[in-house]
Amino acid sequence: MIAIDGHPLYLQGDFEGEPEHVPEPRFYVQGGPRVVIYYLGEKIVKGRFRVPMGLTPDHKLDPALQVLLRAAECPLLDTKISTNYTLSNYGITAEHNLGFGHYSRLAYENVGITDLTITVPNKGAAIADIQFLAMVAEAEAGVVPNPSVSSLMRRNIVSADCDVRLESPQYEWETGRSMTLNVRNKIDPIVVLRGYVSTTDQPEFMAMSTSEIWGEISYSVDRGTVYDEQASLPSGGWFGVNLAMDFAGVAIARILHPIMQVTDQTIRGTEMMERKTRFLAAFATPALSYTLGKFFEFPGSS
Amino acid sequence: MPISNNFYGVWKLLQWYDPDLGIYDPSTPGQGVFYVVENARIGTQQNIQSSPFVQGTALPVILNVGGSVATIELNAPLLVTPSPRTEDRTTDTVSDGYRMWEDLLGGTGVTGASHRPSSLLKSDFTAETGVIFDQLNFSVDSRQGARYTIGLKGDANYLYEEVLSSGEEVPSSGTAGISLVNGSSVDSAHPGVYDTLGVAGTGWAGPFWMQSGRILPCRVGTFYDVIAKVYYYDRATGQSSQIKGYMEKFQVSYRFTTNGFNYVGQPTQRQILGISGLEAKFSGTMIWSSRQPPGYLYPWQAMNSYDDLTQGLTASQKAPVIGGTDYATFGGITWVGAATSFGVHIRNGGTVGIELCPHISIDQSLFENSTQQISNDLLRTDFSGFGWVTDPSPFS
Repeated sequence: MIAIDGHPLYLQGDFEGEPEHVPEPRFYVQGGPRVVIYYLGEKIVKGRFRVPMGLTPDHKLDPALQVLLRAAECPLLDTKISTNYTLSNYGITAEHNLGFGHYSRLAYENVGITDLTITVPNKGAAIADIQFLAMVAEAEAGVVPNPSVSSLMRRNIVSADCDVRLESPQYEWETGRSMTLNVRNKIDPIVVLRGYVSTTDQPEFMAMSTSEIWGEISYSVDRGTVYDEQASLPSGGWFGVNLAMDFAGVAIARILHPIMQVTDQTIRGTEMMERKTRFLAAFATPALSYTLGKFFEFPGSS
Repeated sequence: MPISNNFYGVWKLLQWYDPDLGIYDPSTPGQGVFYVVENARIGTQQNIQSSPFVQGTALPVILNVGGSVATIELNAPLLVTPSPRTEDRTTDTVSDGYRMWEDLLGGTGVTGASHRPSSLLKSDFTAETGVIFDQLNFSVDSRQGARYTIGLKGDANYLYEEVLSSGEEVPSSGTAGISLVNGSSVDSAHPGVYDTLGVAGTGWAGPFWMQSGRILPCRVGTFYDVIAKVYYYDRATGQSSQIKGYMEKFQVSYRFTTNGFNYVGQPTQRQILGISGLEAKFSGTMIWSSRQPPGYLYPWQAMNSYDDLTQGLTASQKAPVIGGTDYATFGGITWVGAATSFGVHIRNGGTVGIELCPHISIDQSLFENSTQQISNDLLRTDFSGFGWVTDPSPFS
């Protein structure tokens, strides 16, 4: 179990998020082929995990997921992950690597969600796949709640809970079968020389560059949908205002201006005909502060 | 043997041996220093031109053979061991780029100091070194680590191979020069990089991985080892300020003017070389939201004071070049004070340790350029400057 900003979180599968160092052997004119010299670069945390989209008993999105989705929407927010990992150091690089120099639960700070994919399959639970970059919290240890005393009952959100609609022109994807939403944030660890006595081999800071959002809606089709699509699903280009992907009513992703890619319809002889609407997101402003809270909404949650 | 290792440099050791230069392992007289180098270029050239005359044929039947010169360029890393580095060779025996710099420019515990290539930078002009400096360079990149580049020019006979064959015009030992030594054939006191990086003179009894006092592992010095600072003269406060931002790369380079010549009646081909000039530059890349150093440090229009920026001098007017009382005389000057205008040090066990470019300190310097690259990527500023090296005493 991990915790996001103190909120416990069930995971589907493993949590991959170990600090990595990427030692690089360096060979010189040195008298023999054995490796004796390494280049040890920055210590960085790269990780990924899968989370089922969980519904709380009071009909809210799992609080930890709210934090993660909000962090994907605005990576400049300060997000922290607590883990059960312990590590120690041998002092080969920068000394005083707090978080390494003693056994304690590792906590990650400056967590940047680089990739978020929410998949609502036709059958099965809605899943959020998350990839992140982070730095080891040097000053504090991770605190993971005790499940026995925490209210952790959850129900998985499934496709029957979800909905997708375009508000203008109105279109409902009434035969929608599955959908996917992707957020990709370009976040770089900034590795620089220091003008002071450094006590860490971690990057100096994390920096965010660009952010992209896109998605896909799959729906079954027959000949009857052709007329209906004339007004609402042009083949490519700007196709409306305010596309809403509704996850059980507890999380809504709103794309103000969906830019449609050309429809992909595969016709197979023995399978249900399925069409995919792929879209890219565009907003009225590039400013994160203006879109903060307007891309992901969590109705019912404060 | 079905597999040969003779032709790979990783099996070799680059040996620099020259008692006249004072470059040898002080713990084992008679042995050269085995520098760990990334790569080395060791060459000799002689100037040859095909000289066609009114000669009845286009064939190159006459060649004009001129003077000769030897060149050496060594690239070596800065290495870090668990023990702090020191300037003293007797206690710091890691033969890396820093040690090479120390050996050639200064050093402690090395004999023959007056015959280093750097001795030609002093006023006695008497050294017979065999080689003189062509360039000195230190660079550190936050992603690649720190590296030294040292280039030298010299008498073609200085190189070891030539020494063996000619036996003349060489330093007095008769065996001086740079050579490659097979790592496996080096005597037990110098078995290879292991001893090069370890403690000199600890012997070779027993399995080496069980000997106490051996220092392993080691690694390439990089961003968390090197402390790099650049200061400028802040006109607003009249005090020193460190330029803002995060430094990705920093480089200090010294280029020497070493025009050689030959004279009529000279009995040999070798060029007479000497150092007639030195250019000291520094450069780097900063990450910051504004240009660093900022533009107001560049009052080029009038080299007097900040206010002269507004005078609007025309081409027919002469700019005042006499310094004002309140401001620096030159535009874009780095901070001049008790401390150097910039510094590059290695952190040694948590404290600021030794200077990484010793013996040839730039004591005052001037920004030449700061150019910010503005795109949707990180905002970077490339800066560069020239330095004054006014005090020859550090070379002693």
